Amino acid sequence: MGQGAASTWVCGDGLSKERLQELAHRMGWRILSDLPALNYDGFSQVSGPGVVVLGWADPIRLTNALQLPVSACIEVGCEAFLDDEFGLLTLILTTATAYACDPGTAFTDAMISRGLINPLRRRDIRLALHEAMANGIEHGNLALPPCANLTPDAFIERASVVEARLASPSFGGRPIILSATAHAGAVEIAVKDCGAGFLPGQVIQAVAPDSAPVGGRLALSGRGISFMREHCDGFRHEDGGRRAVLSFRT
Amino acid sequence: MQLEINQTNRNMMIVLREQLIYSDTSKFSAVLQQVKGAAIDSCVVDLSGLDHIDSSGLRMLLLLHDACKECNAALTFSQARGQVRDMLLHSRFDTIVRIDN
Repeated sequence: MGQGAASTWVCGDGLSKERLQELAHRMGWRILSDLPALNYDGFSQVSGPGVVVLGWADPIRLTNALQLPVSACIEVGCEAFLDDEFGLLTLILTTATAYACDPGTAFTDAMISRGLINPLRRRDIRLALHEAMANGIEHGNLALPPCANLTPDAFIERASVVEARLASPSFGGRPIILSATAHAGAVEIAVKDCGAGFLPGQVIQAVAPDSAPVGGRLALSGRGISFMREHCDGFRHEDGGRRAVLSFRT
Repeated sequence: MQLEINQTNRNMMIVLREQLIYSDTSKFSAVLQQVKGAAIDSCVVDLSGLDHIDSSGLRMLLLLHDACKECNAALTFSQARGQVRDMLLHSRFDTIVRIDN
């Protein structure tokens, strides 16, 4: 892989020295510090792309890791999903960790702190990323059906299914990948899941958020796609629906 | 999401803080269970501490509306501000739920 170049450095947080050494050896990376990444203060003295590997994450640890001057932040075990080329920033987490850590907000704030997107767009980007993450996690990696006809009882049952699937390695262990790349006058943020993609007849139809109620009821689903279109400067699906690409003018 | 539920007599107060997004499914499931099991006439949702909501969060509030209808309780969203208020009004929640300042 391209990431195996000797110029790539790595530091770890929340994983053992032995695990970090094994990972660095396997990927061809050089270890920057034996210290936990968050305690290392020599980042300004190194060049080349850096990767921080998280042994575990909570929202604060993830936010702090993404503030480090690295090109990628990955949960240990997800390294095989790193792309051959580093973009502006890549984040790879298992679905279970992503569900618990709100990576959408942390990624948005990391892009702002790097000066890659206008802070005035924070609200737009945070919402669009939440919508893309929700689709990628729920309909992609957790393989949950659409929500169009949910009742309160069905939602309660669905919550039990979500918990069970998050705890299952075959669902909760699937990676979800956020990656930002620079384009002429814009930054694109892609959210990629590892689910089955769009299935025939299961594509969620967009609903205009300001649609009038029908029979005293507002639509339960379909707003997410519309919000992504409203709050991004460009939006498209790729890879059979597994990859949502959000574009923001810079 | 940070959550607090209080009930006085037949009036329920639900306080939501921080954000209400797709990953709050389990916590909100507990809210719906509590509402469905309660003997109440009114349910007020204090949104003054909520600063962000996505379409999944809006769906949860619609399901709370359904749960309140099932038990004949009047639902009010109170003190929504900023992005949350904008999202509620943009999605026309004011046509089916009372929204107080």
